[in-house]
Amino acid sequence: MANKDFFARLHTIYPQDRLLTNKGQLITYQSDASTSYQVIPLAVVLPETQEEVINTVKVCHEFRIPFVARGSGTSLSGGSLPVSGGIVIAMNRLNKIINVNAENRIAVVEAGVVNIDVSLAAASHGLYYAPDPSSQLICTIGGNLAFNSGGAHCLKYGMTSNHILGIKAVLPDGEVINLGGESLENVGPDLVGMYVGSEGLFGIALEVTLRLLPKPEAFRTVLAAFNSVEAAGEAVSMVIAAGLLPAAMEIMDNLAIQAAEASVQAGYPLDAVGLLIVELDGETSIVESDFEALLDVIEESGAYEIRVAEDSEQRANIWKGRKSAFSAVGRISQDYLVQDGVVPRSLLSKALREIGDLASEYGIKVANVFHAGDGNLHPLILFDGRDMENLEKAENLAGEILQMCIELGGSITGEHGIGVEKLKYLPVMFSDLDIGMMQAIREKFDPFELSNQGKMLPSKMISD
Amino acid sequence: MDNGYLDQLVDAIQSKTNLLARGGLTKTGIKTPPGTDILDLSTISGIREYNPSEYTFTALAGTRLKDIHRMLSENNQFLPFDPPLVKNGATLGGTVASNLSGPMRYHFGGVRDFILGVKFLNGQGQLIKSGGKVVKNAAGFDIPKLMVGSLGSLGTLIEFSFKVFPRPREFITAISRFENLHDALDNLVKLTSTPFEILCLDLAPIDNDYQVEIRMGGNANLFQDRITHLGQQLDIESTLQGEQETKFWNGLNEFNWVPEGANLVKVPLIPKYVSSLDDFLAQHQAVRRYSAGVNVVWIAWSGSMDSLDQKLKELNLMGLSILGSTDRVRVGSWNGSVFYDKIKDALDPSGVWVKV
Repeated sequence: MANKDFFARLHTIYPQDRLLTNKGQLITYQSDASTSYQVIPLAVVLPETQEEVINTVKVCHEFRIPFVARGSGTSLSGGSLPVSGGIVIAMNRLNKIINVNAENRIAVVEAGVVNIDVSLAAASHGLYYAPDPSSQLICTIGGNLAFNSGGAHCLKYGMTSNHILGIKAVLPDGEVINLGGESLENVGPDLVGMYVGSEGLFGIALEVTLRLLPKPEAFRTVLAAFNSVEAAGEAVSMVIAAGLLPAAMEIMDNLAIQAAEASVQAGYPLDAVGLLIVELDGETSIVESDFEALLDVIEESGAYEIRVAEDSEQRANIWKGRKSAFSAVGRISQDYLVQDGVVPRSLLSKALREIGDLASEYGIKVANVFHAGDGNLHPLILFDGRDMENLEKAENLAGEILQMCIELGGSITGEHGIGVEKLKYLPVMFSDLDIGMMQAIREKFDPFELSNQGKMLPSKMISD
Repeated sequence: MDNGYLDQLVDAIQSKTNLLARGGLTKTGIKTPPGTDILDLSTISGIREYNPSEYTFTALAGTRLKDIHRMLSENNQFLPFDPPLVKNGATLGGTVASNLSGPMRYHFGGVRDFILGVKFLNGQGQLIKSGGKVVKNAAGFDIPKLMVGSLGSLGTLIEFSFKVFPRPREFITAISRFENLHDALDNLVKLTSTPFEILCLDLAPIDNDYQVEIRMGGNANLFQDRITHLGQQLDIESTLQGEQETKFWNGLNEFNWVPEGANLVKVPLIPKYVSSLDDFLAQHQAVRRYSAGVNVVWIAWSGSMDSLDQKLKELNLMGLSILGSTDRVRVGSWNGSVFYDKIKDALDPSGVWVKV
């Protein structure tokens, strides 16, 4: 339990306007993008320097007060949900882009920098930062790092972990470490790789060295409409079988299309049962050659309508609909849960059929949006949370979907992480031994479970 | 997998300390410390699963890379991280443990960018699974990545799942020559910010010049245009194609350029270190190649390892001996010990595995 001494120490770090304790202020932080969970923190601090973050962690360690680092609160797994009796360390003001080094193709940024701002800063050098989660206009690099965020272009460019070269972090006991460096290559165990995606259990990333890529010379973005989602899924398999490696392949079902159109009017065909978006990018001559092959495949796949973006504006429009899909369902449903399971790509159609069957069984609508190229599903389970029974039903359906993903040889999470939301499904994927090993590692860094307690791994500090 | 042999490994782990797993023994520079018991993993080999349509496979640690290459090439797929020493008998486990990628890692990525899952024996002889078999997975700690470069010090690696890519249909290499390092490096660095899809980008002192080697791949019908386009960026002296081109890069990846008796040391770096390091290496007449867009330098070192160690420490770089007779496995400075020690303590509390 926090005591007066704890707050007195925080007051030596923060002025009153950056140490929030008033309930009206704290409510803003009670949830992240997984709005089904709400916990009002003990306090929220708003550091403006790395030093303040480090000192806060040290004080929390001294007084055994749990803490949660929070960027923009866009986590879809409850990753930045406050811990009862703990504080939130809001990282948004650590938003300096320290250096963009075009010659070495790296950017060094503070953890609170917004994802898209990295690309904006690198643009004048002909470079950009590739990981593009749909929330990239507001999500932060620190949050992306903690959860190894993905996005539509993972298929060709990989996840956040493939673009982080070095990390400066404060461990849960307040010790500051540096991992990795500036090179794509490494000697010794990949400690950066181990830190990325650790969901805040190893403390807080303060400063990150990112890999930048040359901006692609050319894009070809195709939208294809199908009479079934299975047909769209089959088209994906055909593209892969043709030896093409697009930058992105996304599918939306009709419910998701309806929601997106209601929200952003991207001009999607409203009668499409399955919509496929495929994007090629890279060197112009290769893109044009691959584009011919892609069009042949799509035409053969049975799409009843094919649109090709003629310019950057049309390209942006195609993506606008897809990237707004999650928030767009707010127009057609009071509440939703979004899942993040992965299945082998070739089993996508089977997985979608099973989701459809489960949804009928439960009497719940599910809108489907997914990264078809890598088998990462995002079923949006729609419900009215004003009745708690509906939330329970939705959660049960979500659980069955995740179980199905494992039975098909996949994963319970492709990019959102375990957080709080999928904790109970961890044993579906890993044995007690496997989980025990992860617990043993965590315990070496944070025996008191102060750093993001109750996320990713079951906590011994929280009673059931 | 021979479960009898796995039981033997478990017995060894539970009864001994100072153990180290070895596979194909191709990385002669990664010495086994004296007093270490070797766990021979070369017999733990074989492909467990291969899904060409999923672009994934699962194989045991002792599986030879050449067997994996053969399997993948039947479906026009390949290991994008382009591991070296294939002909010499390198195994998948050894490649992961030493984190060795070849020149094509410049475009596609390294070992760590393609590993999906791992099974390993921890310090108590328990078989732990981490990661998965699908190309995207954010569940739990990324222990598969942790094991890359761990040199067997965190556990005995038994089985891996990897992602692969379609193999480029054809290749072409453009060669540019410069009289001095500054011009070569300057031109190379400019290329790294262009949208050219370059698979390999290496730089090496050859005779009295500095040679930049640019490998591209894909549809051969496009090569002429692409080379012409590239030629607007820098002067191309010659190109290689076909068997000659393949032989060139395969030879580099078997380190055929390393003089007899030299130690081969891998040093990750970026262009800003080259000037200072290259002066030092040139003074010591070390044959060297900068690879992967100058993200790594391979140094054939015949001088004093202390001297190299000192220079690397001065530049805050770290090196790993890959080939040769030196007892110095690591040189230079490393920043990971605080983080590593805690993980090592968790995975191997009794100190079963030697820290190389």
